[in-house]
Amino acid sequence: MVPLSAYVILSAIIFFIGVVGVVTRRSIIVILLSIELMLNAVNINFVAFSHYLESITGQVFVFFTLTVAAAEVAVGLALLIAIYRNRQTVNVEELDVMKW
Amino acid sequence: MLLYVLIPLLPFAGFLIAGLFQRWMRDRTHWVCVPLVFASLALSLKAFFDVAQGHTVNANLYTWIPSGSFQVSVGIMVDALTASMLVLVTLVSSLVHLYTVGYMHGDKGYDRFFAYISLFTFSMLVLVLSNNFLQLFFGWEMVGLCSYLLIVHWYERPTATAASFKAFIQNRVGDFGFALGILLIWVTTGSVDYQTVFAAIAGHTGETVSFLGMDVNLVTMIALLLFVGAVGKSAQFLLHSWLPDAMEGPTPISALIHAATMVTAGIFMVSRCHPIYNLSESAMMTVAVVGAFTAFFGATIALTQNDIKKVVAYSTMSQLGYMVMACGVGAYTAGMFHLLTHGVFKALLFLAAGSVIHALSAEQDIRKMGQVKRYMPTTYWTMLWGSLALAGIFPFAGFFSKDEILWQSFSAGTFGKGLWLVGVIVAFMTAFYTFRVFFLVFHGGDNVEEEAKHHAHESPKVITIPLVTLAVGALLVGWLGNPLFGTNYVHEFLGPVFTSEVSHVPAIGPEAHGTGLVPEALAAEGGMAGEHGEGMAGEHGEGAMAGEHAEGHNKGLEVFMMLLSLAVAGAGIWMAYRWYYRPNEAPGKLATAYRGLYQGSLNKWYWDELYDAVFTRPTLRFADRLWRIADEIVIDKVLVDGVGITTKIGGEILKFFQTGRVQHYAMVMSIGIFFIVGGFFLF
Repeated sequence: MVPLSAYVILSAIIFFIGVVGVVTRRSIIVILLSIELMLNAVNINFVAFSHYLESITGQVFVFFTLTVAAAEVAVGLALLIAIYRNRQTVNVEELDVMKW
Repeated sequence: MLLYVLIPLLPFAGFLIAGLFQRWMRDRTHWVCVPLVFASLALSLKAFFDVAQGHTVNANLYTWIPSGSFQVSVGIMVDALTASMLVLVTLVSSLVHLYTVGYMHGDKGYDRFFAYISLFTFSMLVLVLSNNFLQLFFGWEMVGLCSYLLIVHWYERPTATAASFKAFIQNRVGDFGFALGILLIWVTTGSVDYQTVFAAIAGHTGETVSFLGMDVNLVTMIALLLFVGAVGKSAQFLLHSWLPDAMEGPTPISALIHAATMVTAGIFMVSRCHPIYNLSESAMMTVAVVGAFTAFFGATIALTQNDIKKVVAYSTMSQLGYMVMACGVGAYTAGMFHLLTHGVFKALLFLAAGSVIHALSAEQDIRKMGQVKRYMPTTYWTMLWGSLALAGIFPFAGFFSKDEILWQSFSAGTFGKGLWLVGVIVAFMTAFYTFRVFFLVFHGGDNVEEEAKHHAHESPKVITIPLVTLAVGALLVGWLGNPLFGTNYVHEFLGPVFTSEVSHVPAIGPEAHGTGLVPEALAAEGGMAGEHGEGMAGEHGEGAMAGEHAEGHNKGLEVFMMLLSLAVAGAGIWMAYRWYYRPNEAPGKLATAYRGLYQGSLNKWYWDELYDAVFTRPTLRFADRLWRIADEIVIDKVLVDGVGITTKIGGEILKFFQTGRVQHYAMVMSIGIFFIVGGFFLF
């Protein structure tokens, strides 16, 4: 029997990897992937607590999260393509016109 | 009762209609205001006769300020004092309203002017009808406001605006003292209602109050603080210089506000508060001295002024001094009597002067008048009557009332004898300057400018009717207070109000019938000095005294006094006649010989210059500093601009945190969340 804490720690590690990815990587594609990681870390938490508390609500939430994540990726990739077409790059360090 | 409430409300209705429907009223305003004031006059007369039959009223209408133990009602009190003021105010006001129709004809502020004089009438009536100090104060402030608004009627003139400021500010100084007095009354007695206060105040004699570190007698303090208000309102010495300047206003205002009614509010107030004043010897003494000095001071200035209205204004100041002096020796009845007669003949003089000014195309300088008699006979005769009344010539009103005051002063001990002497000297000067103006304007050399001569004409009926009415009044009202024979109605009527002044009430009662004084009194008409001795010798020891006054003064002496003051007035007139009836060198020579005195008098003893140097200019300098330092530097630069500059510089620095890189924001956000969540767990 795997204890709840193991799931929570796994979730935390994946979430942290996601955060580091968002903050450090330059390619928008990798950033989007990292966001997906963070979302799925949350999903692990949901499922783990759902099982632990014997409530189905958490698992239902996971479905919603997956759906929304799919939609988000669709929009994100569309934006990504639009950016690439305009700027010929997906490097976020070059996308810094929104400043003083 | 309800009718009495209408007395002030009718002019107020006039004000509202004239003010609110100004656009439609324009030069028809008088059709509303004039009848309303006349209606008010009719009601006042009714009130007067009611009081004469013994029906006095003192009623609270509704609670104005219910605030814990501080209860103030709006109320009306109609006793003999109020009733006589009511009649004077509404009479002069209605005649002035009528006069205004002619005088202000074609003025672009015609409707505004009517609105304000109606408002003034309302305020003055509220003042006299009040049954408590707070309502009195309300009326007191309102008349001050109206005075200001009317002085500045011709607001395009810089002199008029300056005069209005001066009037307002000097009155404010007086009102400040007055307000303090009312506060002290409230602190002392816990009430502002006349009846309650007057009943309670006697129980506080001998108490002291700390003032500037000194212990001052409480009642004296109250009396003096209230008197400060009277000094301001009645243009007594030290707060006097606004009154002559107030002549910048249109003449009807000078007659109504600055001669007959508002300026007498101080005397009215002191008379009303006689239970307070009677308790304080030193306050009374101050009042008397201030009054006597003002009478003298005003008269000396009036001697040399060249502006016809200024002379009359200084004369008003001087006469107000007489009334205050009378109050100061406890002769409230005499003071009020002079107030009433003065109200009539001084209004007459102002209106007559206005008529002359009107006829000579707004010329006010008496050096540019002369021989005006031939253009305007009615004005001539009415002005003559007014001048005789002011000079105090038998049988005109001023004779009776002024002599009453002089006699009362004379009877008030050694101190009073000094006041009497001042009064007699002033009477001489009064007669002289009054007739100086009269002769210079109507006789003397013809100095009217050709242009003005062209338009010179007798004034229209609306102007002459009030003049004639007042002239008849100036002849008749004095007889009401005739001390020699018949009934002294003034004392019968007003006396009971001042019952606590027993020791001062003149010993003239109904018993004074048929003392054989008539021939002397009539003979005095000529103003012949030679008759003194006879009058005195003949009547010495005539014991026709009213029994109720034990001190019993000497009737013969009183007659002698009358003849003396007649002689003095006659001498003044004779001197004026010698010098001014025909062009004469003498006054000019005298002016050169006593250059210092002449210049002093002409320049009002440099009092304006003194105030200018002591108060006005330092205040202006201070204000200038405030403007340049506090306003322009501290507020504008440091505070307003400072906030802008700080924000701008702050923004310039902080903008570098805005890198435009999404990852920086994500980083900051993550760290922030880390700390918030961490803090949440820790604490």
